[in-house]
Amino acid sequence: MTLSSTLSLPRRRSLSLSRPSALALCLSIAFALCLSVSLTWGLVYPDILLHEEEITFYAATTDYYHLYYSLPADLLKVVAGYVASWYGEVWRGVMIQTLAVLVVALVGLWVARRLSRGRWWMVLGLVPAMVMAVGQTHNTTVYYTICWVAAALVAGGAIGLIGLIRLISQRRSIRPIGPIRPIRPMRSLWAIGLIGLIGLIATLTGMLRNPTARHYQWMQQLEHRAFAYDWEGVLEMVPEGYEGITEVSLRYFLLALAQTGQLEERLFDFPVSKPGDFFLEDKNPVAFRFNSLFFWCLGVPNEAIRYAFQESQKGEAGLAFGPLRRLVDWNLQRGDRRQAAYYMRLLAQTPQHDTFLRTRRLFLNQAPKSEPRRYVFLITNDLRVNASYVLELDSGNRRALDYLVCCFLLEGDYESAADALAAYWPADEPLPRAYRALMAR
Amino acid sequence: MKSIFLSLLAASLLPACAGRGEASASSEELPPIFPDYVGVTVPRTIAPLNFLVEGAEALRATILDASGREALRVEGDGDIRWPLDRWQELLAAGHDSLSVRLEVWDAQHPDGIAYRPFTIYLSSDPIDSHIVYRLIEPGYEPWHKMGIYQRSLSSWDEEALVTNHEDNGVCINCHTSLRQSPSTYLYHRRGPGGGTVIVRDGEETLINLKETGPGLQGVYPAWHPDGRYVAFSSNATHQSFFSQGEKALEVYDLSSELILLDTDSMQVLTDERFTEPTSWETFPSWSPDGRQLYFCTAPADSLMPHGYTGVKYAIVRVDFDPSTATFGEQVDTIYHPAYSGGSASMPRLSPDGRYLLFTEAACGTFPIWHSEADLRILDLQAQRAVDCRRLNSSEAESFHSWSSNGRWILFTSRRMDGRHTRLYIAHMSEDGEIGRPFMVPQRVAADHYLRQQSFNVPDFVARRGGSPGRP
Repeated sequence: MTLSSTLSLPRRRSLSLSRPSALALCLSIAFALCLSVSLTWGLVYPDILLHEEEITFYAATTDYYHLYYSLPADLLKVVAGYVASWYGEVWRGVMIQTLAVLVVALVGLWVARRLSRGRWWMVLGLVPAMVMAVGQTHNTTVYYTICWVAAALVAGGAIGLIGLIRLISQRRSIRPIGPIRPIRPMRSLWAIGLIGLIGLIATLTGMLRNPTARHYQWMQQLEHRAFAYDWEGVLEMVPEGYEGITEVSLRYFLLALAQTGQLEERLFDFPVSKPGDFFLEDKNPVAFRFNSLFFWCLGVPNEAIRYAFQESQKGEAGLAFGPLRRLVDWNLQRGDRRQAAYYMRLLAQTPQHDTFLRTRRLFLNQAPKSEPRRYVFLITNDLRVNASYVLELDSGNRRALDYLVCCFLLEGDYESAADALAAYWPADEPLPRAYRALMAR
Repeated sequence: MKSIFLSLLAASLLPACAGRGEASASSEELPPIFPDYVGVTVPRTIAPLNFLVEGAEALRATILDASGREALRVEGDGDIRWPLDRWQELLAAGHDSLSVRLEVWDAQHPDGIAYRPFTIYLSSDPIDSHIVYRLIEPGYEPWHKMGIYQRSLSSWDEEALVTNHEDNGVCINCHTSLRQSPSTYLYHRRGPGGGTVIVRDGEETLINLKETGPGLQGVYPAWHPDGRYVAFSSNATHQSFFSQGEKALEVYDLSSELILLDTDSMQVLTDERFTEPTSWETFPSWSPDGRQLYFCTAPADSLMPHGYTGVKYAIVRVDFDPSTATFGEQVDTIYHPAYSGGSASMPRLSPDGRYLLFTEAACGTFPIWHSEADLRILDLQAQRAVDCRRLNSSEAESFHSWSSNGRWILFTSRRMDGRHTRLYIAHMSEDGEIGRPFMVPQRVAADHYLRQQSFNVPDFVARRGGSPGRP
């Protein structure tokens, strides 16, 4: 036994943090970030996810790749379309949004770790993922998310390529860009933790305190309830004191009133002034979407289908999943099997529509519905005229009567309103209170 | 292990009927193929007539030569794709027809069924090498992506000439070439900065006809054969939509007149007889010698759109003197609704001037939205109607044109599903015998179903042309 060995002090245990501890902390922050993203999308903005699927399209068809997109320039748009087709279920959309953030976070962390040689500021590699998470609530398109993932993969790939080149040129074992040095102890952990916490709080704040996203979610929830014919659910969303009702939401509320037989009773609770307040005259997808439902509920199927077609046409790929499904169902109900079959063939080229098509094929295979001979009329821009025509075809159409009477009321033409009631209201049914008051004038 | 893997890989790549024997059953019926190429007459340079059978799990198609021997055999999972080079060799071999035997394996016939062989007739009459058409959604008011494309009839090559892909706000329409020339044509661009674009050998000239002469916009064009003049109708076109029923809408004019553009001076000329508000003139078309202008005309109707069923167009012609750019005094009626009962659109003279091809519908001026619309051909020499039953179907046929030798007719039809317009070609012999038309083939037969856009205003061109800026 040598003197040095007997006199040597006990080996001081290094208090330096091993790489795994700092890395583990960064990964924990990344996990917390992903959890925040999941909860935000799943609990706060679920209808936005559903809407993203409704307005996009992907199909393995010649036109999709040849006319609407071309590779490789539109590769990311094509990928985004494919990925968006999975957003038809909220949980899938949440998973994909989260996974995308996770990928960016992990790549960012890996790149930062190599650049920082393992120093505390490698936690800054999570910043891009945090920015992305906030950005997703401002630009809700799947394309935005895909671009972030692609950029992260390219950046990570570039760093990896540099490392590979170094490996080949230096013939050494793989090393990061510069040697990773041991991290200084607790101070660094605290720094990582503090930065991570600040980043998480800022991210959550950015995601949740976003009035545009909040309103978008609210509107999508309203639309989804309307298209599910959940009219009571739509009316539950009427704002307190009727404050802040937008042009579009007003139409949905009035439609719900008409569908629940409350239009004459509550019409003037809402900010209405003219017959044009019942539908939208703009030529954009939002207007087309509402008008399709409006005319379907009124009993004018061709107009409903026209607006659904036009809404689909405005999709980036000339088609969109939401209106396409409506075109299938409405054409089936209208008895136009050929058109329904055409759209079903298209949907058969898309992912995620097997169940939808299986049920619709049952209807398609039934005996064709023969359309009775009936008078058809030409649609005008005047709801009074359209409602009158509908009543000529079907005098028992309560909604058409309500619209007709309310249009006259909005114009102050009480005499015509009373005449319409007298002509079309069933004699053996008692009038609602508001109509009794009108007749009593 | 490796050999097992390779075997599995090879098996996955083989068509489903590879290794199958002959079909066990036979049928005297013709096969239910789509497109229906049974008994069609095709040119010898046409691209392969690929087809499918709905619900088929495996197919085997065999072309037999005159002595019944196998000349070409192809197998497929649900469709048949003839190899281009072998197909071209076969068509060039000088046969008068091809006999095709098809075996199908499906759920009803798991051991296969062999259908009665069908015949494809080969015509020696040549056909122009390319066609040009617009692709547009079969929509209503708004539009999205559209463009003018040219397609080789011998292959699958389809390329864009002009599109609005960079600016979806622009509508491109009424592409018309001078005597099937791919390098001299015009089209309209509607939207901001739009007008009529005249292309000659790759050089573009934009003219806004509304800013010249009488201030009338040009709509349906017709090149004079000498290339100097272009006749236009100037139409105020509107749409109205039906509340119910299979017919979605009616397109109609509230006014239409004829104007003549002199492309040398870029001046617009008019004849006051053809700009009166009491009558509507539309769809001009020149005789092959340029000495006569044919067009459709109807009395103006103030009850539009509700009176649309009463609007019926006649076909008339008037002499034209190219040296003075003036029209003759006399206007002759070629087709009159009072005698024929319908309404005519889009008159087109054959290159030899003998036949007049047009669309006849029950009423109106936009027949593609009329399911009863059919093609009609008048033999102007023999003063008789040609039997066009083979051309027509229970759905709309329209937008027709002649090949440069007058032996082939290219037209659009909605017979597939009543909405999406597809292209058909039919052979017509010198004495007016019409062969069974065939749908212009696609590389993948299912594309006939799946194409989102409709083919519109097709025309033959004599050779492949370039887009503006690229002769």
